[in-house]
Amino acid sequence: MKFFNNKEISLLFFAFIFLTIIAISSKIYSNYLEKAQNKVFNDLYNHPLKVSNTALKIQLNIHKIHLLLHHIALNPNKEKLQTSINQLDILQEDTYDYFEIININILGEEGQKILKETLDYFKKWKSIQNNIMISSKNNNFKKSIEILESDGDKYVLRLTKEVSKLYKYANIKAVSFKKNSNEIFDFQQTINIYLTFFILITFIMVAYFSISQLYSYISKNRKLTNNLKKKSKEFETMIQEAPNPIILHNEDGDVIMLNKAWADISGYKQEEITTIDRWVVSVYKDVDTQKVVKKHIASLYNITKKINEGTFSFLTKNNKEVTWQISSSPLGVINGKKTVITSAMDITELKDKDEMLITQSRHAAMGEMIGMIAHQWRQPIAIIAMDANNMLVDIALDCFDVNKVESYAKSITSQTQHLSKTIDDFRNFFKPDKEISEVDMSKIMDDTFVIVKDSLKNNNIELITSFETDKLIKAYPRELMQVFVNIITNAKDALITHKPKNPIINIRVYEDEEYINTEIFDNGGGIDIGILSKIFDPYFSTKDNKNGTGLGLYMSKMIIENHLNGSIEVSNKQEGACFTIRLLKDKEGKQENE
Amino acid sequence: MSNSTKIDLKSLMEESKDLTVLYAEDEELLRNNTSMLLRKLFQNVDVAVDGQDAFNKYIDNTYDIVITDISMPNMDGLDLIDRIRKMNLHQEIIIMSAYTESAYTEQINTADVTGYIYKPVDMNQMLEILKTSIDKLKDKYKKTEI
Repeated sequence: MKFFNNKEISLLFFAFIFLTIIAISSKIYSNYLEKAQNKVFNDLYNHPLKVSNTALKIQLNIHKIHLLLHHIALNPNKEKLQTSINQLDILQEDTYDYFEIININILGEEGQKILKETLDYFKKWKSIQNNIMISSKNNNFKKSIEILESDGDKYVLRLTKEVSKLYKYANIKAVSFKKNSNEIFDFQQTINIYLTFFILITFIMVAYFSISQLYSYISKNRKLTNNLKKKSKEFETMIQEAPNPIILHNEDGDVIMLNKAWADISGYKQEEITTIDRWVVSVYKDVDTQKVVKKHIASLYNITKKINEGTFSFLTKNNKEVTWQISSSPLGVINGKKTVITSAMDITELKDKDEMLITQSRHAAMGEMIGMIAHQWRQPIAIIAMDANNMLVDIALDCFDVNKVESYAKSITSQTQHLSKTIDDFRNFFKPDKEISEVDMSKIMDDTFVIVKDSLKNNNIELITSFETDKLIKAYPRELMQVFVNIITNAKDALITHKPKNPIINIRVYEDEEYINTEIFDNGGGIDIGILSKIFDPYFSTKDNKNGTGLGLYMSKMIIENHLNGSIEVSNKQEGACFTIRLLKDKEGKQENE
Repeated sequence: MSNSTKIDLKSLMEESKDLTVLYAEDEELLRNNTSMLLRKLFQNVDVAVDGQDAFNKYIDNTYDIVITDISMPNMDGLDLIDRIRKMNLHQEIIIMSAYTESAYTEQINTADVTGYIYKPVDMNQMLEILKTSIDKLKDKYKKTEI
């Protein structure tokens, strides 16, 4: 952000340079003018004064000369006469010097003219003086006095007039000089004022320009700042009002923002949750869980892109358990700290729904089990009934024999054992798995067959198995059995519907590098391609109503993918459907991790 | 109940004594004790372990009544009935099977068989079906005698 643009900056720069140069040069100029004016003033003023002063001296000398001439004319004493003549010469020399001074200093043509006239008169007067001196030397005093009184006085008068003219001229000149110099001074003063005024105006203009630019920048800046504040406020509002819970936190563990949805669902307000640690401690009561969650959150500050963290269940302030599906994205470094935005989706209801599905699927599985139990029990019950019938017939025919009856009773007992065992098998199947354990696939298959064998047998379905591996896997055995029972039952249903000549269910267990694979395929005609992608969807069923809850395969997928971290796929083979279940091999050393 | 059974049974036996029966059942234990009972009622009872076995025996011998299970390996009861019908339209045939085998019940043409004895077998129901069958045989033989 700049106060001015480059053009304005250079303009201002030159304006200031210009102002400075003007100011300095005007000062120098005015100093120079003052000096020059002083000099001129002094010179001009001095010269007329010298002229007028000298003119006065000349005047005095004229009178001295005139007096000496009187002495010369009137004094017959020879000695004295010579002294006076000498004095006269000195005075004359003196006077010429004065004239020379005036000549040097006098100004103007008129002055030169007056000087010349005066000097001419003075020189003419000299000849008259010489006449007087000669007459006096010849002792012709009478003639001396005569000359003195006629021409002498005349010249003295005339000279006095001329010199005073000179004096007046010089005086007038001096005054006019003063006046001129005053005018020059005034002019200079005026220029100075104008110059100052000009500088002032320029300065004001520059100052105004600068200040206005500065002001507009500041107001613009203030506007921008306000806009920024408004935008940041809008951003905050957006986060605050977002329908999903959102939290902003940084690597110091500070909670920067926590939105309304977060506060509403969790029951904790931002004031209560100032740090991540407080959050963790508030919603997880178990210390070990707290540690795990804290460690997990700490790892978030190093993410470089959005990650899905999975689902977390915790207690709200009202001690209600909620489940959130949480994902986080890095926001970069804010205020010097790595900041992360974490957004959640409240899937508590979905999870409840999931649990409902599980319950439903268990009910469905139970329904199927009852069907299977019926198959299992059919023969023993038929045998027991027939034993009883035999006894009834014996009684009716009056040929009741103790040995025979014993054999019937033994048969009945043996069949009830069979019934009881069947119940145990099925009850075991429904017992929940307590923990994941190492299991052998063939063992699980054997247990599965115990449950499904009669159901298959009664429908004349042949079961062919091949176990190409004896590697163990880690699994919940009964959940896995549930999956197998489910797929086998589906195959059985398909075989009953399609009635191939020799209904067969093939089961093949083999390993590859990572997985133990179980292939279950039948020759029941396969699954329509149109519904192949939907068969794992919940509530999807092709069966009209009999056992058709549509949850069996959905549950199978959940069990395999969510509980056992495996995969389940379906495809059509030549004669029928083929389900492939892949489960990770149990690698040694991996056990402690899980 | 036992009284009525006694009476029925004795009177039934008067007529059943001379009849021959083919009984097909794949489950050994059940086959054993059912055949034991049948032999008390009928003079001659042959047993077959599955449909194919029953059909072979049927070709070789003559039976008044064929009692068969439905679900059996190799050849099931329905197939057996079909084949017997092709040979003898008037053969007395009784199905002895579980009611729950609904997948098959739909396919049974009730006109093809005299009756359906449900497993587990109730004496009265069985005697009733047997009596129906024996009565039908009696009528048939009377007609042929005439």
